[in-house]
Amino acid sequence: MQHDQSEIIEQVATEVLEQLAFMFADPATPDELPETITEAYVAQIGIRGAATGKLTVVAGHEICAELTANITGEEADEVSIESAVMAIGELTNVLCGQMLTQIAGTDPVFDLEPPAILDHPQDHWGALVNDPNAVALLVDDCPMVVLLELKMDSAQAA
Amino acid sequence: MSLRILIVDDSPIIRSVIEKNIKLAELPVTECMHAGNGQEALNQLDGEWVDLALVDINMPVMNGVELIEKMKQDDLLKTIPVIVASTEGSQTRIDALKELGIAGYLRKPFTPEQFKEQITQVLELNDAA
Repeated sequence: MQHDQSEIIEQVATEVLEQLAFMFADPATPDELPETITEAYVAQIGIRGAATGKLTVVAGHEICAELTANITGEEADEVSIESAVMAIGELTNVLCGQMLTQIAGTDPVFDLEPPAILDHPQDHWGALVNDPNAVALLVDDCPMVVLLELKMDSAQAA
Repeated sequence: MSLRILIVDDSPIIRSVIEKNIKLAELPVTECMHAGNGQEALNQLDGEWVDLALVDINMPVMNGVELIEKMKQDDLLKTIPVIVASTEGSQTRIDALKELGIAGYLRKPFTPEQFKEQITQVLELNDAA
């Protein structure tokens, strides 16, 4: 199940990044990722309803700036931190909706919290890179980590 | 024909994407109004007419479902067509939105072609618009 979920996360992330922002993601192994990351952002969405859990996405400023630029038409080197933060929040929102449908189908109803931006991204980066359930990606050669923690409500999943 | 569209989404980036899609689709839109949540949308609609509202679901303060419910309770606002643009993938919830009377549904991320097709269909514009 976990293996399937990782494949779904990779597939959804690849498709969403391409469709949303013309960016290309490739699966990566933890040893392809840097041990530390500077100028990173962490977005997290809480999930309730047919399952409880959260989706966490960590990415460097470079990815978030390119994401913003490709969506809005701004120049990547002129993207503000505020815009980059909003971009990773919205990316996480779209990823979460798509992943839940791929994993649980279209019958269950989920309630998603608005994306939260977490402090201390370097701490999250270290923890996520070493989490066996996290999915590592290289997005246009820049690292991104996605972790979906999901516990299905047994009553609704039945 | 000149149209006024209200875009309701808590993400300024998504509002910008939707406005870009409107331009790409070459729709006869003269004005795009923006609101960051359902309450802001209701404030905008108090005294302002729009031909279409594009509404997200997951928003702080007042979400899209609450906004649509309030619009449908108002004799004037209930005539404004609403297209929901959301990450929502639950058919159960989409069916509930249709029962509320939404005119269309776009799932994020959507392509400019899907966007144009949906708007054209809801506003009954011809493809040349």
